[in-house]
Amino acid sequence: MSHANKCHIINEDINGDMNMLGINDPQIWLAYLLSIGSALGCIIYGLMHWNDTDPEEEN
Amino acid sequence: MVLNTPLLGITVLIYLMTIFYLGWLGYKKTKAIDDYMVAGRNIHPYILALSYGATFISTSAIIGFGGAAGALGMGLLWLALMNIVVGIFIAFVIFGSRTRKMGKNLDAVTFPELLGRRFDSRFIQGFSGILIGIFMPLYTGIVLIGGARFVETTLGVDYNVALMMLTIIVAAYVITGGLIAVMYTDALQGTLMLVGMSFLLIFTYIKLGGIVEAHHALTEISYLVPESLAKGGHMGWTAMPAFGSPIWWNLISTLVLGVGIGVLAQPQLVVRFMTAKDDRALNRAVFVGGPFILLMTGVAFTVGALSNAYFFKEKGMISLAVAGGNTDLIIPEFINSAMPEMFVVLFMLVLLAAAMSTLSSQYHTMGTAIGHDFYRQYLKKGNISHTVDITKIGIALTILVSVVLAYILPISIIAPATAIFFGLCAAAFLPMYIGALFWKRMTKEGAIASMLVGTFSSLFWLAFVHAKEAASLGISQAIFGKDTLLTGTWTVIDPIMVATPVAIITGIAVSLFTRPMGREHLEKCFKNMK
Repeated sequence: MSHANKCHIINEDINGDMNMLGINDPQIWLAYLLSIGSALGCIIYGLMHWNDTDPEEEN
Repeated sequence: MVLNTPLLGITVLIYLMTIFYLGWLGYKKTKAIDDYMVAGRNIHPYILALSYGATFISTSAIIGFGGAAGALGMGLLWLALMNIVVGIFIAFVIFGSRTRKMGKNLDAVTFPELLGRRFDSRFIQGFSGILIGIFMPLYTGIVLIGGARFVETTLGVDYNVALMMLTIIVAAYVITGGLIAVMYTDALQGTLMLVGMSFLLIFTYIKLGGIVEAHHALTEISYLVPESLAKGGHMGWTAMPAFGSPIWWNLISTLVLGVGIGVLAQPQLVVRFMTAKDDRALNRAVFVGGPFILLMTGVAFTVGALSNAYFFKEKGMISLAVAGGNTDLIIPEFINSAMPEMFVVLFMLVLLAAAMSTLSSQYHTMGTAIGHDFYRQYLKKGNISHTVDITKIGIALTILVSVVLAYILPISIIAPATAIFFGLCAAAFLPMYIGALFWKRMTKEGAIASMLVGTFSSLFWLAFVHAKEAASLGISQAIFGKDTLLTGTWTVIDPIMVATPVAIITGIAVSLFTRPMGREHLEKCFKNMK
């Protein structure tokens, strides 16, 4: 991602509030990013435990 | 939204033929009780994840909640986050694994049976069964009405014919093919939903000039929030409502906590953990389930809110105004005016799939609850055979009840059904379910007390305090002459925040004062569990 693009995504408006992805309210962009992050987390968890078996059950 | 084109007709026909094929496959693979009730405890992880997701997400989650985001804004994304973290990750990793093992240890084939056997109580199984049997048909009724209305408007079919068609098609494959048919068809429906919602997100951002531009355009029009909503705390579609305002409470308590946590104890979802062969299947299902839910609720809420920016750009109006004040029309209006026709056809199918996948699971769960849990195990003390036949009769009976209810009950009773059912599950089942899996010291008496207190306090709160349902049901008005017994903030606090804690405290207190369950029984329940 170019520097110009980064500046476009994370901005500060006139009041000094941080603006992320065109959204001013941190409570909203946080929910937006956390939703995507949690879905990615599910993917990573699934991959990391793809072949996990339960030793107690195996016995 | 009438779209009576040959293209749609052919697409629906191909879709239905595939559904019938999968239903037939389920029928062929069903040989034993376990096959019919828990898909042979050997379902493929992809099917498990999509079936869980497609059951979880009904048409109302897309249309209803997407429309709510059109009115309230992107604050609903906290619910999407809860859906992924609680509804998928915690559900599968923390609850799913133990549920699967305990279900196998106790040879349980339904959620009420799991609870009943864990606490060695036929009463718990019977009461849970009857609770599901009474309240789930109401919840099914609303999904059925929504599905039939949708078929009526898109295919131009008479509403009564649409209702019958939908019922008969879904009933046919649920009754004959059991849970295997339900899950196979769910997987197809889930795949369609996945494709449709991905397109919806991409098209919406393209229409609005990109992600940042779209959000920015939405932020820019916050001054257009209607005065009535602004008074309630609405501060724009890309901002959270004012802290502590009625809209804030509504958003946080009902949407985020009520629906977000309530999902953990939904019988039709819990039973899916028992269909997994091993923990590997559950872990792999998390891999699919997380992104699936993001693409369902995450997309619906984002697109719902962004529809305001689109309508403002095209018509100079906000979504609520375009939809004539009816939030349920926001998403259909947006799809119709913003999307290419091919996509409209695909989206119609997505909505039909979403309704059918939820309906089929509800039918199966209601049927097993009434036929197996209540009649066979509680009334007949398990002394009769033919589990599958009885369950089939149970399914047929509850389908009939749902259809009759959908016809005769006024919409004021049917509309709050989803909230009532979710609230009940969270209060009556969740504390006992957590205790069953994680707290060996929980006793039969503690579980029963928690279930009864949870049930009745939740029903009390819904009928006499929580304004939305209480006013709609009219019971408080009839007895006390006023809509709600309490006033102010209390009336917007969801039952889950009151009834569930009360049920948890009751469960703990009664368990500590009663004799622990036998060691041998506990060893059997918790075999192969840490």
